[in-house]
Amino acid sequence: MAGFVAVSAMLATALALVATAHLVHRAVSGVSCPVVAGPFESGLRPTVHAASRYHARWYTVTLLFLAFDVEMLFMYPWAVVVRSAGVGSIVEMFLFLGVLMAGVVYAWREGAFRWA
Amino acid sequence: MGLSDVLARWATSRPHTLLVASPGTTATRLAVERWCRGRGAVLAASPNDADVLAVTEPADGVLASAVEELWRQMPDPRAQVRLAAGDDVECRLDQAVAELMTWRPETPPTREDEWVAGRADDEADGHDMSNMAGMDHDAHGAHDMGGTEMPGGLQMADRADDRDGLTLDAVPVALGPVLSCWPTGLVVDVVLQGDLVQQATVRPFDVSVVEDDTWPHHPAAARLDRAADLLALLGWAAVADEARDVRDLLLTSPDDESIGPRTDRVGRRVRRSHVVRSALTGLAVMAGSDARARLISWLSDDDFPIAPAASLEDIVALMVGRDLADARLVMASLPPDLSTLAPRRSMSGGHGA
Repeated sequence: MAGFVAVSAMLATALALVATAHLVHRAVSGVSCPVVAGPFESGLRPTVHAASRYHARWYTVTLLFLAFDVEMLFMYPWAVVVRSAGVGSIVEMFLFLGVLMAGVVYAWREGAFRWA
Repeated sequence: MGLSDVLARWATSRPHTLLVASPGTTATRLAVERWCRGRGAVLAASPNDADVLAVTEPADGVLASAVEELWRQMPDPRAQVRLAAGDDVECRLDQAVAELMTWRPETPPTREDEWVAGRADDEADGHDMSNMAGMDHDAHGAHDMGGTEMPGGLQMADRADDRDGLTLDAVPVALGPVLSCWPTGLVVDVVLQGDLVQQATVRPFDVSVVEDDTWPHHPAAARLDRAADLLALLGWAAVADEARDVRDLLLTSPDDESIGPRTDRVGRRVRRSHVVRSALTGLAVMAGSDARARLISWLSDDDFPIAPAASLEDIVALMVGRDLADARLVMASLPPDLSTLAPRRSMSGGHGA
């Protein structure tokens, strides 16, 4: 039961803080409903909605990062045991890295890293 | 109430000023910048950030509608100042700030939806809707998601092929009349895919250019002004402000002894900077000089700095294939001479022939 009291006290405190923030804003703000204005396009009115996709080059770099992120996931436990496991484990890990590097070189030659 | 006055005085101690300087009105623009520096005011980059809108006369052509739109986009409290050639700039701006201090919210509020109000104004004046590149009214079906209305009534951009054989959204953006470190009044319509410029076209220039007598008599100060704009665009505000200080010193007391050493220091810092090197090398190559070479020549003692004669079409062609930041750097490193574009009307100083 004591746990519930603590949790509900925490919830009440959080709600009270949020409510206080809202009330202070209401009291202090000059106007109650802000003006709706368009986005700034150097003084002209925008003709299309600005939501658009990123250029494709960001996606290819992201995928490459993902591959190496997962590789790092394998390297963390390896780094802990490499000392006791010996030279063989180092060779194996570098073979693994070599395979990944082959993938990077392939992506490079296919133009995945071409910037603008 | 005392507290309101205290808060108002504190709030207006550093007014954010959005400056719209018609092309050629150099003296007024420099006076406004001097007022800002003396007051601790900040030059705002967009109307959302601005408290005071300072416009130098004559702002006509596309600048007239741009100023109206900027005024609509500014949040309350706001003040507008129109500065003619012989005006006492400091006095007018101080009056504007005093106006800000006495502003109180209106009940009932008169400004509710400025986007809709702007569209109504456009239709009432019979203006042409600005460049519609990329917008295809017949392609609604592809974008309409069960008949939902996009905010502001704007549709999403249409798609076009890009260099990899994918179809990517092609967003038309106007690098427009009022933009920081951009020649005021010039409008370049670019089509962006992602953040890369695919097409760039210049709109016909219809703003009248006032005859300027500041820069032709002080070429060194003009070079420092251009260099300061380019450095500010690169984000190096400290060196840009130092360059502007030296520029003002050149105009007020040209025999000051500190000008030479200060210019040298600025030039040295720019030459040694890695950021400037990586950002500007190979950018905007025209007549054998790139942006970095031109910037360094502007900051040196050269009486004949590198200034390739480039038409607007050439400048704009250099933007294609670059990203948006590079496009603005291209324009800043090849500043066009706007007085050659609008020979229709040139007002000199006050009224009259």
